[in-house]
Amino acid sequence: MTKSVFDTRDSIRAGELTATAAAEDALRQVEQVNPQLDAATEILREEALEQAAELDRRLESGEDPGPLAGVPFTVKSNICTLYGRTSAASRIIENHVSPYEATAVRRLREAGAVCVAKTNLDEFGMGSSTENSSIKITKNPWQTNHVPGGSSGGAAALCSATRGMLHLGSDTGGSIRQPAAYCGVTGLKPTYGRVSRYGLLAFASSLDQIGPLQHSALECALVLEAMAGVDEMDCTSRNVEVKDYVESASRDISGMRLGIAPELFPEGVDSEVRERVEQAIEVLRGLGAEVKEVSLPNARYANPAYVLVSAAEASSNLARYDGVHFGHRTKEAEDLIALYKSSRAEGFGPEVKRRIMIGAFVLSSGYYDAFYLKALKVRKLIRQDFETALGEVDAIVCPTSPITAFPIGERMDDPMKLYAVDVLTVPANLAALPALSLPCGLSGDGLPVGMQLYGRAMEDDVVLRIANAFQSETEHHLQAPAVNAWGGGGEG
Amino acid sequence: MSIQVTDELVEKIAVLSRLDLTREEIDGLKEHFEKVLEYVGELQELETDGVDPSLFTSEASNILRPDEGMPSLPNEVALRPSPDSEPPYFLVPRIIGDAESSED
Repeated sequence: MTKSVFDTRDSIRAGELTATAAAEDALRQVEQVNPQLDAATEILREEALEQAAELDRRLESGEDPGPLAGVPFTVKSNICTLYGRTSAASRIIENHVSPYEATAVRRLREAGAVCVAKTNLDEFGMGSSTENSSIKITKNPWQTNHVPGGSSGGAAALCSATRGMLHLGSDTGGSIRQPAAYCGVTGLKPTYGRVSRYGLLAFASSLDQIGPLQHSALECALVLEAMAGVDEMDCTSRNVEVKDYVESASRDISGMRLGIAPELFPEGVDSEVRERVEQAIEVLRGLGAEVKEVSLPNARYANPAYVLVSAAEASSNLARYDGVHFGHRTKEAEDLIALYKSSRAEGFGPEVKRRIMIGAFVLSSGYYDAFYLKALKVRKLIRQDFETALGEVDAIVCPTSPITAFPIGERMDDPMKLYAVDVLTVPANLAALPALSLPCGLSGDGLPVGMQLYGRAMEDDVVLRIANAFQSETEHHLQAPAVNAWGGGGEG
Repeated sequence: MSIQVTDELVEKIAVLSRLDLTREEIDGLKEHFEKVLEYVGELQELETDGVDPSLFTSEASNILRPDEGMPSLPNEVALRPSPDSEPPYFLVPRIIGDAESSED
């Protein structure tokens, strides 16, 4: 059975499938693959079936519960839902149930979608392999001894191994796109400000965005359409028209100008990754796109700038986990300062501590100008590079990650080796641009390769459109991983 | 800028970060600080005099709304995630009298 989100939605609307049957099927799929993948941190069977039953009552009585009535969805565990734990995969808030709901979640729910599971991540979104989760390590459905990427590794693995659901992730430096690439799915980091961040546990507020991980660009367009738009609870959300993304993504790309920047094909990109992306560019050329070279002279400084800016913001944002307001409190503390220090020491994992420390360092007196301010200036130069390049072309194409999924444990001994994986994704967050990863083939050892598209601010529809054109012509996005819930092998 | 990553530096940042660290963690962080400082060192190559720092990435600025009261979470609901509370208050250890003084 190969079912897209559109099939699920249309069957329910046509009365051929009940919301309850759709929820049951989604739950069955998650329950079937989760023992092998550890992708869901929580399966919300009871709550999902209760909501689905309510939707069925409304559908039966002739009401229209919304454009996504009965479509199941999953939510990364750093995004607030009213039921299920929002733990950020951290011991410090491991049993946290949010008293409020993220705007993105509320919009999906109000459109009739039903949350069936929360998904795993690197603690607070800090990592590129989902090995930094305090709960469990998620496995890649293509090869279960490999990482799914991160930090939205749970969403990517679950998306890859199931069908017919929506998956919400978050992306601060590549946390949607890199796991999408490693698990062979399509992931969109929307333009900064396109989707409200209200209810997303903040990691780095000037970089964070919520976005979808799906089997196709069209599915991503559907989710974006439902979530996007200004929100009075997030003053960085933009009051810009929400397009009909499904319709605009369906148009052809003839005459569109695509840029290739040598700086985004640096040394260190694996030769198979390079080849697959180059072959994909030829497909796009065949579809009528013009390809030309552009220059991003400062892109090579993006990752060091990102390491500093994201850590600085994290150190500030994570100050709220103090043993008083949320979650874990140490058993014994003589005074308030000791309570803070011990609660945080016991609650945060090693990578989170590293980021907080680096962040506090670059913000501290005497080092602020040399590091934090310098990084913000470099960020400005990078943004200007993209503005110039995207003045000449409609989108820029590059690999999503220099490598394919790596074996679990391989990069855990040295955090710097993990940071290096983000080099091609962080520029989009620094420059606040939309960027999408889509599968473009397999490596010789059978692991997915991701191609990335960068677009202009608020032109999320353009990257979706290019990706959809590619997926209309190719079948890479239809290939099935070894672990899947529909018994598919090869093409699913 | 050349920086000597000493125990004192890491310990000072740990105080600012409100983190109790073990000896082993301090040693690990010293090594990590050195690696990060080396990695970000290449930023110093770039000439950035006169460049405006990019603090914000949103085009939006000065978002205003009428100064009117709006409903918010009920007190007892907002206190629910706290490890120790007695509505309408968070409970903490005694602050006045025996707290550490001016350590930073």
